[in-house]
Amino acid sequence: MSKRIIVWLPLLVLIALAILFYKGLYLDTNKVPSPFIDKKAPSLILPDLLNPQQQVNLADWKGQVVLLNVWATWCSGCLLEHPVLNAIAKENLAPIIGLNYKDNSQKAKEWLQKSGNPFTAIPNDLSGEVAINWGVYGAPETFIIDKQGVIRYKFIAPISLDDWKNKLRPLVIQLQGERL
Amino acid sequence: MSKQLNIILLSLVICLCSVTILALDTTEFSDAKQQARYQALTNELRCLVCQNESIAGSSSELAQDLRAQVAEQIKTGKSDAEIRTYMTERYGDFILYRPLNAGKTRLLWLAPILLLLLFCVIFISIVNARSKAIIEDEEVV
Amino acid sequence: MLAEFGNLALVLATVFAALMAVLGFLVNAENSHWSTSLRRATQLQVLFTFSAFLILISLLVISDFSVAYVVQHSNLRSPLFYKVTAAWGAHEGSLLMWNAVLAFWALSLFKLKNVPALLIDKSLAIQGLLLFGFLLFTTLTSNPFVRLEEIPLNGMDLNPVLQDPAMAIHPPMLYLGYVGFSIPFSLVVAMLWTGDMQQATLRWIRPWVVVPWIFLTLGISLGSWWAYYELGWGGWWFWDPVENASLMPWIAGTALLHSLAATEKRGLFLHWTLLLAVMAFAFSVLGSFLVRSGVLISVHSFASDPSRGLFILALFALFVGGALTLYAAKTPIGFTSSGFKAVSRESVLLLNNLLLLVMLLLVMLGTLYPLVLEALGLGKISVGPPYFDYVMLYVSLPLLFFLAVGQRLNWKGLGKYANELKKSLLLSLVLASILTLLFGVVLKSFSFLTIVSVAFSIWIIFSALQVILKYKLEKKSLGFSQFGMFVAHIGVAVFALGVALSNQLANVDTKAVVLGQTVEVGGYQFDFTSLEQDKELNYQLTRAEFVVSKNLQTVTTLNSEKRFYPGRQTSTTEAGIHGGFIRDLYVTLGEPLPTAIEGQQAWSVQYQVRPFIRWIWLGTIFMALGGLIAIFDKRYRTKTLKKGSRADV
Repeated sequence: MSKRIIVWLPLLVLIALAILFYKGLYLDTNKVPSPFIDKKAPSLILPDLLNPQQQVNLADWKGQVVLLNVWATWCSGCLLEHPVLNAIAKENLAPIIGLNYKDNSQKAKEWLQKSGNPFTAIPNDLSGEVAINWGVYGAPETFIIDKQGVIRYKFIAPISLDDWKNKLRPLVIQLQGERL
Repeated sequence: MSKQLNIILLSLVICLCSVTILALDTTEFSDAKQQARYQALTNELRCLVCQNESIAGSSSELAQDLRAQVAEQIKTGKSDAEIRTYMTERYGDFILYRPLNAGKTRLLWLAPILLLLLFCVIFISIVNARSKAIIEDEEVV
Repeated sequence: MLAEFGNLALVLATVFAALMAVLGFLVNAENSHWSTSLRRATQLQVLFTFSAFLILISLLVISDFSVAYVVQHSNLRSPLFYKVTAAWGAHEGSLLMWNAVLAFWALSLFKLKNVPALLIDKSLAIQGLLLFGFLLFTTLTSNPFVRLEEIPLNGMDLNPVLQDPAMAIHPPMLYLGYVGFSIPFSLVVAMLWTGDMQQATLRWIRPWVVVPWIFLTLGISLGSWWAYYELGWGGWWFWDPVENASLMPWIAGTALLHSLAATEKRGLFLHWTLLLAVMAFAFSVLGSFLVRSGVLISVHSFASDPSRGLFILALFALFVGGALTLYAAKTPIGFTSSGFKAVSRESVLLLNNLLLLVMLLLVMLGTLYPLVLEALGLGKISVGPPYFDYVMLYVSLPLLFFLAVGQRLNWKGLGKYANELKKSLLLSLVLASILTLLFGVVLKSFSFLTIVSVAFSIWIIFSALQVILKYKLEKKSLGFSQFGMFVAHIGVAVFALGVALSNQLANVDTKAVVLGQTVEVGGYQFDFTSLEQDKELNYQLTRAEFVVSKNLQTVTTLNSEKRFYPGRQTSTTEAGIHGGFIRDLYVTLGEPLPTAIEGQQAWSVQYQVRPFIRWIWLGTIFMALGGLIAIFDKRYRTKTLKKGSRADV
């Protein structure tokens, strides 16, 4: 009697597997979610790229919603993303902090001169140590930090204008609406 | 269109790491035990850039930086567990090739014992039934 | 023009595959005239599928750069050999090869004599259905004959890591195995469909399980061999999802081989054997899905595309789901099977199947667990080599132990033979233990697990040799089937020895060295003697030469190369390897280092001494050889034709 039921078991397993794989097809398996979401942002104090005597401290922006963009001139995705960042900066919605990740400072300055500078401040992470503390594993990556200094979102890949309009911008506006 | 571009870019980024570029790490420790720990640890941490390689085998920049972190932390006397925690705090459980024997991945580690026990029971019950079948055969004869 | 013929062949092949399925459904015991048409349709189907595949090869050979596939995977400067093998070097071409192999195996059904003709016809119908599904997939989503609007002057070349003889024949071997399991699948589905489930039929299909299994064994082994010498770090198995995907059908096929023995000879475990036959092919299709859909992160994946993934998933769900529904509805439950004692060949075969099933489930669990968690929104994790290495111990040690004993047991039980067997096994166990301990003393460092697995492996070999010798001395013939079994089991032991010893005794060191420097690793001196730049047909290279000596005597000269392929802008590493029965010497040239030593350019170089590593592949060759010997057993070669069966068409 029980055997009559057991023989259906393989079919059930197959159905479960098929559902799993169907879901799996639409997951982005290459992106690793950040463990920092909804956690206090790690400290970020680094010399400014354009003004090395001056220290950039993320904590200074407390009370504001901030975009933290990780970029470098060796990263082809970052270069493609740059016009979008310029457009975002023009909106003046939120400051963009541009963490310059293991870059050649000279090349970085030249690039900004040529293509425009969307960043409010550019902490220069030559060794990549701060980036490790932020769990950065590639560039470009963009964090959205709320008024409390908590990381609320991480975007891994170059931001397109669509991404900005449909995903990031609404979130920034929503976070700006939150009380301090 | 832009989405497609995204996909192309992302695959470009991913393609930057290829299996064929081999990282040969020449980090040396004066202490053989530390060397062994270093080797074991870097082989068990997954590189997030080239996601099919351990940080020991990956030639990506990130892997180099993380290897340097591991080496430094071993030298400053951190334990393996502390180094693993350091990594998971920053990159999540994904970085561990050896899943934790806790929480949502405990089942993985219990699986071999549970399966073997279950299959022992199945084996014994089938053999019991079958050896009874012999006796019945003989009785009929 | 040729590409259009390719398209035409593809379309005709698809149409005839559909025709096979339809005719196969129409065939029944009364009207055999459909059967003749069915076999004609099959022959034409095979002709068109082969034509399509040959046309693709021709396009690559003549470098027709109006075809996208040729541009992406071939180059004017490629050697002819790699122009041909590019036909299965990427997604579209390899899928076409999958179809060609599927057609080849369908044709092989004509050779299956002594099985009711209706069963063959119904199997051809299933095979036609499979072909139709996969050809539709090829034509609609992955057509290799698509033309480009603008014709480039040269192509991008085949992925350089694939430009290697072992890698070139690895996919055809693997596919002959994977797809070969479609025959037991089709036959079993046909048996369930017609309800004609004779024990004799299962005996006749045994070679159709063994031959794909041989190909799969060799195919996986070749892949592992390739990884060992081509990837340059001396590893041979990485527990990568795609490797696991190839291992799963192999485990299912191995279980099937063993349970089939119990079913065909003793009528036992019938419904389990039927299920395994379905599973072996199901896991093959699953593997193909995992490689081609990109659901799992893997080095080996073809470029992923969700629409392709969805298509194969649908094929997988339909084919396997259909077979399993038929199985659930029609498998004979009340099948009376004979009894056996707790210590008998039947019981160890059962044990073997249960242990292999545990192994299969563990590999599957480890491979799919990250996907399950992610699909449930529980975060992202990794399951890597440390996990698999650990859990495999739970299965491999009992498998080795019971193999040493199990291969000696008789059907039904021991009877009078019990005492003699006990003595004989005890003798070989004692001998194996002594040998292991001697070995351990000589080599000094041995862990407990290594000792146990080495002792069990040697025991397996001794226990097999005892029987072979006994028959030799008594001048009796052992029979191909038995002899093949022992050879394959010796293969398992040799493999296990290779794994355990190469793992335990390996000496690996990575150093920053300059030209002229000597490094000692594992008792060998590696002298870095020269470094030169060179150019080959389609790549540039840096070659480093190492003279290896032991006790002041030169053993060999090793060359390690870094190659750069301009066609694809990628580089590869070629390790310098000196193979030996007892040990391999392995040198890999790394990168030039930013630091200089005494004013000279330093390079990172990895030196390895890996004892017994070749035994891993030697073992797999023995396994395959055992299978080959077994199919020559006269039980499968009876020429007499039973009533109702048909001669070759």
